[in-house]
Amino acid sequence: MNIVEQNINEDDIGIPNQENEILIEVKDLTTYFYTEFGIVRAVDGVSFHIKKGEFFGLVGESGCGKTVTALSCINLVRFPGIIEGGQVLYKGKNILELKDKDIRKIRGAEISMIFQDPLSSLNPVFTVGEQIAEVIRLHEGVKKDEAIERAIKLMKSVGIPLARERVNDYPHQFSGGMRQRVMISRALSCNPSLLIADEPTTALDVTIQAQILEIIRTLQTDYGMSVLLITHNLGIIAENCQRVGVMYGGHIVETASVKIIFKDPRHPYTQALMAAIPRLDESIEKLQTLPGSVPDLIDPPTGCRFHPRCQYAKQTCSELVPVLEKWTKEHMVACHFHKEFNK
Amino acid sequence: MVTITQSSDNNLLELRNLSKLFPIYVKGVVRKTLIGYIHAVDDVSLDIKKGEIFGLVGESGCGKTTLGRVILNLLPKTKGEVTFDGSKIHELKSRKEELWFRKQAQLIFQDPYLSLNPRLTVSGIIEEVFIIHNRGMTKKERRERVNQLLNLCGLEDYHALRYPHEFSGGQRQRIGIARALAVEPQLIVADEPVSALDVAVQAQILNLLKDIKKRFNLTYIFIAHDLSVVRHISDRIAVMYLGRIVELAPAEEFVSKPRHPYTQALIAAIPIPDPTKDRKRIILIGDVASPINLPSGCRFRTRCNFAKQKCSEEEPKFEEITPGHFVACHFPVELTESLI
Ligand SMILES: Nc1ncnc2c1ncn2[C@@H]1O[C@H](COP(=O)(O)OP(=O)(O)OP(=O)(O)O)[C@@H](O)[C@H]1O
Ligand SMILES: Nc1ncnc2c1ncn2[C@@H]1O[C@H](COP(=O)(O)OP(=O)(O)OP(=O)(O)O)[C@@H](O)[C@H]1O
Ligand code: SF4
Ligand SMILES: [Mg+2]
Ligand SMILES: [Mg+2]
Repeated sequence: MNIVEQNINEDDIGIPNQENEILIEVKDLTTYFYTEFGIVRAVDGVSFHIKKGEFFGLVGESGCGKTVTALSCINLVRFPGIIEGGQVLYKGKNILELKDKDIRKIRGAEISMIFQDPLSSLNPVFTVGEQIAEVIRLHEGVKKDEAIERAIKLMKSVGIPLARERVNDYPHQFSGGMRQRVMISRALSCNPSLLIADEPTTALDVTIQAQILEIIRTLQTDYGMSVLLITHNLGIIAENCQRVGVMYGGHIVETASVKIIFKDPRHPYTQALMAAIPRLDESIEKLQTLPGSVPDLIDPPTGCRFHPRCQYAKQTCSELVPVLEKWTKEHMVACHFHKEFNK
Repeated sequence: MVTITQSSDNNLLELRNLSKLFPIYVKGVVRKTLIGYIHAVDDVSLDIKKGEIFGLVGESGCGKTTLGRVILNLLPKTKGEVTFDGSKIHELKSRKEELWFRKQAQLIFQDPYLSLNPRLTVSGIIEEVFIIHNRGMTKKERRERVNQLLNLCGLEDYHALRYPHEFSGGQRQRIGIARALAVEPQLIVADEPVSALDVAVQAQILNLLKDIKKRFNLTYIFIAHDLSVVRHISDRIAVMYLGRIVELAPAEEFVSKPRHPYTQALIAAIPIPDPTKDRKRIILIGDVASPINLPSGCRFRTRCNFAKQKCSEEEPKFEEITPGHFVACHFPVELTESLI
């Protein structure tokens, strides 16, 4: 088992201090879709990294490129999408240059993924036990009986009641929340170093969502697994992640530790996003709104993609693309004027 | 302790022991056999006050949409009664009375696209309403009124001549709202009106709904599964669980002093965008019961952390435990620390 000693050091920025070793580093990732309407610049020069044992969140509105970023990270972009450039360095190796055979070994074993809709990614004709055991056998070459035993253990560990009795059930016999747990146990069957979870709880009720996130968090702290969590919910980011990247129109516009970004959001888009959400713990008379709508990624705005909606935009903003710049330690912002405005 | 029975002039809507069951059949070779009923709405009694925003929350399948539709007489009830402004709406006799009620009470949907005729322009869609309800209007008057309504909902005159597919989700929701306002209703049932929208657009629509509510002194029943949204807009909040209302309180009290174990778990589960908060977590174990075979006694007991023997023997009544705060639980929990 790949159990990493964990030593959470709640320092000022709340990042677990595992010598701060980087597990995966995405550099200038660019993925386009060639459609009949034009080229969709879905992911356009995205850079971020995730440390060992870190819970990293990617947040942004619908269509901003979160899923495509995740798929690009494990080289799973399908036609008409093409990864145009950039690197995904996993433990030092560029995943985008690996042979199919080598990348398949990483996918599912070292890096696993859970998707929003567990039904579509579970096979309806096999029992859940078979599907979990299959992954274990494929990657570890153990016998079927042993793999099934391991599957039962995993199902128990993610809180599926009566795991032994239910291991021979089919996916449709489980509720949505239970199916998502089956997916998680399958994703975790090979003790991955990185779990990519794309809106894993969006289709679930909040009480179930809380349980699923709790399970993922426990595994992250117990086994030192890193997590890339994709969501549009800032509350989920605040309660689960250590660091976060905010995406807008195919770009990452800000990254920082969660504690910092909620205290001192620097990008006007991050600020607007935070002011637009109703909160359970506050009564706000009027929510702040953003004018305009999300950019068309076939013909995105020039310069800063946020400039048509930005209250601080000046001429430069429509002419020059702002790059991610260091604001403080671990806090990067892509805005020409991020130094100038205060909250 | 009283259960609601008396009516008051302040009430726009009164529900008494309202139930809606859906029969479940299995298809056999010769005929289909009835195997049971889904208790989508089960013995709901409550009052909606004139001018209030009444929030309704609960998990998927608990019966929110069904309750909204039965209230609007879009679905027949199984039992009980709904009184709107003094009239029993399931006993309306004539077409004229039915049209009257249609004008009084309107529905706004989650996905407005599905409810907008794709072959009509926005103007056509709204004018249709006038053709049914305001026969006397001339074409010119109708057009003017359409533009007024669109402007009110943040759209421009030129939008009137476009078709629904040419609009974004948020704009379609505006069209849905404009159409609902066209008949000058008193009551709007909004069923997940912002659930399909991104946060930025959601904020615009919530602000719009609040504005027009004030402006026309409307009453809303606002249905959503996102409690943060419901808390933001509502004056009072009720939570449903498997067809039954289990708690009802003024919005602020609902989130700060919930008494039902389910409401407490729900509130504790809602993520709050503030990483400095260290919140209590309540984890529910056990499975949601089936709406066909409801458990004996309290229907939440299969997941409840406080269930005792009485809970499986007797169904808790929906009772007022402090003024304006109703709970259906044998052992309502008094919280010692805030959940938010
Ligand atoms: N197969 C495809 N063909 C064409 N365009 C695509 C395809 N997949 C994604 N896109 C486009 O790429 C952009 C980014 O999409 P992506 O799915 O990454 O968004 P997202 O941030 O995950 O959104 P959501 O929150 O709705 O899941 C969008 O504009 C989308 O329309
Ligand atoms: N026409 C119908 N026939 C049979 N069962 C139905 C019908 N409509 C709803 N139901 C059932 O009634 C129950 C309540 O459904 P309803 O749609 O009212 O729930 P809801 O609270 O609105 O859920 P959601 O949050 O998913 O919209 C569910 O068990 C549902 O399956
Ligand atoms: S670069 Fe300009 S337009 Fe973009 S966010 Fe900053 S101020 Fe606004
Ligand atoms: Mg996505
Ligand atoms: Mg519904």
